[in-house]
Amino acid sequence: MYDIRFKLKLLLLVGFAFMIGLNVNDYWLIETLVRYVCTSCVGIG
Amino acid sequence: MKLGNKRRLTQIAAFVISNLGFIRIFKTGFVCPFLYCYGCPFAAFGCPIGIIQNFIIYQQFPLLTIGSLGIYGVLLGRAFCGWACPFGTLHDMLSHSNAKRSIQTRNYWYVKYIILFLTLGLAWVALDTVFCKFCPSGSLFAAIPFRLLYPEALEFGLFFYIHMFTLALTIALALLISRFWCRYLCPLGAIAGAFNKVGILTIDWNEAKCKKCENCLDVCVMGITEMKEVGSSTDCILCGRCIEACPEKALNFKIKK
Repeated sequence: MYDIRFKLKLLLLVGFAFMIGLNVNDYWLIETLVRYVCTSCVGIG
Repeated sequence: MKLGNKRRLTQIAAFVISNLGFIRIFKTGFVCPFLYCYGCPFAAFGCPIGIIQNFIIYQQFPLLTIGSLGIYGVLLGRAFCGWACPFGTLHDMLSHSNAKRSIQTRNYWYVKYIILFLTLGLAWVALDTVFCKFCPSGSLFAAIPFRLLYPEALEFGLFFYIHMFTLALTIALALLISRFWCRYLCPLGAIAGAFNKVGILTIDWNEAKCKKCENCLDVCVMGITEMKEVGSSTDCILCGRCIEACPEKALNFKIKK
């Protein structure tokens, strides 16, 4: 029914979703540290 | 509703959603699918290029960011550039698609990959977000609003003037060459553009219906010059202007199954 390339793309999507699930702690790192650094960066420039 | 009006609506909606961060609970750690500086006072999401640079500095692999960009890319290719990016929207306002290209430009698609490589390399070597110091999108959506909101707290240092210079230069070039930044320089466009090759959403060209009038190529803001590149080129932002311009309806959005 579906092309093999389409199935591979779905597999790729699952892979990327797995990458996210593997490290949800990144969310808090972005929300705290990255936000602080970006805001400071704007502060100087 | 015409495709152009739908595009304008999604661009406005994306800008509003990107700025929901003025409500504290919407200041999230999610990865923005387009170039929108996290330093913007109201930004709701983190800019992927800024996040990747920061993770390089912390010597960590940005799994959440790569995973998010992968999902955005596989689902929609570079469509976020054409339908959502606020800096791309500014470019659309500066140069209309229906104007014939006044300047003949060559296709330097690889320059944005050099910029991407330099962005990551300089973050590694200098341990600083070097690209952000020059980013014209950051100038417009972060540096200027920040100073308007907090005029007493911040100085106008060297980097502020560099930001203003890069913004002015980008706007001047965008007036001459449509989507100048997106075509040649955007490092996020380079990442998203690579996904056009594997993206599920694409633009399908029905060669049998095509009368080779090339109206589609004339309206292309990204300067695509060959029909076979529509939808699959790293430059195609899937904006759909070519679909609107085709009198034979030979072009359509398609989900590749």
